[in-house]
Amino acid sequence: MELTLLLLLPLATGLLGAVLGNRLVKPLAVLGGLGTLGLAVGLALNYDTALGGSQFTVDKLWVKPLGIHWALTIDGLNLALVVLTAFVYASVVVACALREQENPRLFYFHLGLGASAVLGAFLAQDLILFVLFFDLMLVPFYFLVGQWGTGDRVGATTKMVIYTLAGSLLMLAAAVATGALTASHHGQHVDFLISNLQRLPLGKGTQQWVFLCFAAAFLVKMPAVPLHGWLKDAYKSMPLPVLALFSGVLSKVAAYGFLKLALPLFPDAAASFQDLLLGIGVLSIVYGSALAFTTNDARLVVGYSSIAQLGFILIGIFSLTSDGAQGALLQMVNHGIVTVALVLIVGVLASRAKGSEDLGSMGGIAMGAPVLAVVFLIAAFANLAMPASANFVGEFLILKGVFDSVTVVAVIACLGVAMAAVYMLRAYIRAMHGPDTNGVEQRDLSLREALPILPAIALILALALSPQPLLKRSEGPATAAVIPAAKAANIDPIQTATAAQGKR
Amino acid sequence: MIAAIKAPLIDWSALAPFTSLTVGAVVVLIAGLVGSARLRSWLVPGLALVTLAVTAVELLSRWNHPKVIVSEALRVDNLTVTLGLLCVGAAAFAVILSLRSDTEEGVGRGEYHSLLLFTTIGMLILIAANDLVTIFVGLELLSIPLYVLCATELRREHSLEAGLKYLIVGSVGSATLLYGLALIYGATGSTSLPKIGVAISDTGALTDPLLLAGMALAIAGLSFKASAAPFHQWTPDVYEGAPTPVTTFMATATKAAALGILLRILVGPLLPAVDDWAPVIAVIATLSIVVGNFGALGQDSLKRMLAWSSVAQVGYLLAGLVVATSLGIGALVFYLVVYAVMTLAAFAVVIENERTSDDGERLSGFAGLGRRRPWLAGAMTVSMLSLAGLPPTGGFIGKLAIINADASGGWMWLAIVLVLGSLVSLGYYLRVIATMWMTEGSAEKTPVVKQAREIVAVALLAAAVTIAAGVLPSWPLERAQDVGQTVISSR
Amino acid sequence: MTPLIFFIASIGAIAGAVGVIALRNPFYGVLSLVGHLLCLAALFLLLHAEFLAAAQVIVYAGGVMVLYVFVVAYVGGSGESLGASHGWLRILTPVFVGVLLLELMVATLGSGLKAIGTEGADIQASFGSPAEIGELLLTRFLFPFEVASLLLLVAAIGAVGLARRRSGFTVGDAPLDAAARSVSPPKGSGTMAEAAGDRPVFGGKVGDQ
Repeated sequence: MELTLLLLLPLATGLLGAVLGNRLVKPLAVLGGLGTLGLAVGLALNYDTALGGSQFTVDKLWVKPLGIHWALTIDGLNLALVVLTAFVYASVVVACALREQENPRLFYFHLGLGASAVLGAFLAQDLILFVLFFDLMLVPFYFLVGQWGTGDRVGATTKMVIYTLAGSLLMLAAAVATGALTASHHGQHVDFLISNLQRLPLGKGTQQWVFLCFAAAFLVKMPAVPLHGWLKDAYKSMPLPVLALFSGVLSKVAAYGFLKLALPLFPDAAASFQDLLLGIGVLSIVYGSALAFTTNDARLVVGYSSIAQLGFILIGIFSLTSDGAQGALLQMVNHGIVTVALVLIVGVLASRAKGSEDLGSMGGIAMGAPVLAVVFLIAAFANLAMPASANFVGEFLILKGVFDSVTVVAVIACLGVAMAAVYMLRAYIRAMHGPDTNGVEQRDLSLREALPILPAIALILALALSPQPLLKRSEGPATAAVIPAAKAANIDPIQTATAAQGKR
Repeated sequence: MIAAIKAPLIDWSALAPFTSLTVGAVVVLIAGLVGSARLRSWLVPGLALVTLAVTAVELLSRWNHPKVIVSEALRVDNLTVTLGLLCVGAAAFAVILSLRSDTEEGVGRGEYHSLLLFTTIGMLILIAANDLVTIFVGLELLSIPLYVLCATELRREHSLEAGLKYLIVGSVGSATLLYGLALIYGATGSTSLPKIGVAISDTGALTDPLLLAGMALAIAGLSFKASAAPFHQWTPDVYEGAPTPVTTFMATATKAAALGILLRILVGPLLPAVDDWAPVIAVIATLSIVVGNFGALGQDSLKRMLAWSSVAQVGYLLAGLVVATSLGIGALVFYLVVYAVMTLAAFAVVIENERTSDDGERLSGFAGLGRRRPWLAGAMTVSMLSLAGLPPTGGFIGKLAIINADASGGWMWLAIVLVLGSLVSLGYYLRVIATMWMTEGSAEKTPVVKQAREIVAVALLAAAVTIAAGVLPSWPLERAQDVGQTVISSR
Repeated sequence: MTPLIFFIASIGAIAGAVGVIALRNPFYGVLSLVGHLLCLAALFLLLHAEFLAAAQVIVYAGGVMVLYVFVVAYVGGSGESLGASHGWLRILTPVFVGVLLLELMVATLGSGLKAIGTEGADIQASFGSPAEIGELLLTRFLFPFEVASLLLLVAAIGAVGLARRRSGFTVGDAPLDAAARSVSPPKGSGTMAEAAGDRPVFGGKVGDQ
């Protein structure tokens, strides 16, 4: 029941605000954001780590004739991601509330709908329910970009939707096929509960194409390199707070989908396509990094670095080792928090540089803005996985996992770590130091600007000091997620996991 | 000489929906002769609505009481009740939507409404038909009033053109159907659907080329009425030319009736021949999906766009029919109802925009509608999202059900075609949404026309139902599967 | 004797039907239709359906055709031959029709022509009599029979309703027809007329919306 409340709270407050009128809409939205965060944190604190497994489970038959369940749960796999989503949503709502929006009623309604959909995708334990939320989260962002965006917003949002839905719709067909074919394959009536489907794997040939459909949907959403065509335009025209939510959590749904669905349900196919996906991951790392240090647009540096980071997450997952999966999970959380901070900082920088987000028109801001400089530096260091940051731990685990399973990939991926340092520091130096060419305003963070950023910075520091609680909770489920696929690929995930445990 | 004739037994209570509609149609026709134009303007639609309400109640009372009546001419079962209610509802909304249109200038208010009721009777007969002769007579009673209704807007050449085109193409369709029915009769020796079924399963008629040719022609003939590709060419012209309330009615009720009887024939007596007709239907479905979606892409007129999109939607529906199980039929019936509701919402918005804006039926007339009238634009948005099959709407669940049926029935490739078709359809559905919400533009008519509350109410109601069908689909889906069950078990 | 009459009547019926669509002059078209209907009546006679044959001659070949001839005499005869098909339709249509014809012939012949026997059909004495037909209409086909009466009513309503438009509605000062003809759909909107080739140009004012 708590989970249903958690899921519906952002939507309900958004809807209420839209109906009640302009004056109540902001307080309601902020209330919804903070309430969601409070609820999520409360659930996380009440989650019994010793017991592990699924807790707070809701399972009701929702669409009886089709066997679709309203099944939500929290386990070690999604616990951190749910809290992350609530946190990002709260930050974004606060950031939005501190500036003026055109047509705020619909704006906050769409924002709430988006947050609810993302939460739903993380919580869902029914395959169709997951697909439903996965498709649903696109709809509000279509409007948010198209109505409140800048530049060629209609073109950008249409491109984004068509790209993403191409994958999602194929996934819909594949998901239905999974249920239907499982039923006919095993000659019994099967519903779409993920746990039930997991017990009855499909035949190998079927797994292949079904897996490819799922992978297409997830790779577009992440996005991974050959499928990232929509990213530039969409990122360019998205309003900044919306971008924080989008980049912070939506891409994680895709990565989570690999861990939650693609690996456990289609282990044979995952094993046979391991090389392909590792290749895509490495390509994303290299190409994304290259794009990030050739662009002059502060916003796109964040965007392209996301591609690279998600490449890391992807290879972590498809190392099919416990370490890799754990690192990927940790990295999802890290990246979500860092992205929110970075995106909001880009907004602050742009306000200093007469609204321009071009790195060339910034420079020298640090002189008069020590707090901003420190805040940006922390976020930048976290993003480039400076040792002692949680990102370092995440990337280290990923690389270790990959090293154990496919050494070549790990070697190339290490290159990505170095490149991350290059593009992040380049962006930092160009924006904060260097000559002030354009009469940039050297004003420090105001309280209004700092309010949504500082919690993220605090969280980055906290995770850097102690990533252990997160790792402890995710270890079991992350290992469980990769075991079937690892078995199919003849990799031993357990042994490497215990070895890692010993080292730590 | 023949001895005294034993007249057939007539179950008046089961026949009541048909008789009440007939009586109502005649009463409405006479009420149209009332002298005062003001009295006429509310009396005639009022009487029509009362008639439809009474019919709906009578239909509802027949739920789960299947019966074959009047010497096996009609079968009043759950399929009749469901699709009959759909047609009656569509007619009622057509009456409401045409309250403000100037039917007086056309064929006259009384004639207009009574023709609407007559065509509804035709639909009911067609859906309930249990005999080849009844099928043909029902189809004609459905078609002929529609030909006239299409041509009722006297001031527009397009309206007359639409009527004429529909008449000619419709006649070709009827002739094709008749030829097919004759061949089926020739192959099986009976006009009664159950007896045809017996003849097919008992004798070796299944392999008779005569039967197969008859089946093909019958499918083609009904495809004309359902506007499935490649028998769809008339659709955009007629939908655009006809008065918009009539278009609304055609897009919802006619499709339901045509698919209803197709369902009854194919899944009824011809079920043993499923391996012969299922590939044909699958090909028609694929063609409809491809042709409809690509045809809709470049359209500037909303009515034309919706016409092409309706071709594609028929393709989705036929994809449910291919799987001749209660799962497939349930999905078809559910999606048919949802399709009718979301189409109603779209057309209601088009009608209201036609009234209040210059250029209201063109895409450009929708520019900035979200700013001017957010509720109206909201209803249109829900309808477009649902037609495109996005959650949380009934369209999503409907497509899900059809894909589910296809996947279980071994028609996975058809499900993939359906999904790819939906992807293409985003190209035009999203264009409408983007025009409404994301472009500036004020195309208000000068002088400003008063908003029509009842039309907005219809649009909002339909949009709300569309959402409800997506959020709480369990109950309607179960009823739809009940219908599928009765159709299968009735043979 | 019977087969001979059958083939003569069949060939006559087909020739008549072809004539209706092939002849460019509407008057000859109607005459050809009359010939077709008469041949059909002969075929009915062969099937021992005397009543139908008589009805066919009296109602169709007699009454309805007279109306047709009147209409053609009033409206037609302007020397304007009925539209010829254009472009690719000219090639595609015969192909399509040919394929359809082939399919139907295969179907008919494929049935093994079981109906062709030396004995002839077993026909009761009362078959095809008015009394028999009347009984069927009042018992087995009671419902379709009643619905047919509704159909006539609808046809009457529709005819009267549409005929009303002749009584001179106007748009502004111009008579309706001229005003209406000045409106035509824009190019490239995919009308059937476009598919068939050039749109016939009414009144000279086309395309200015």
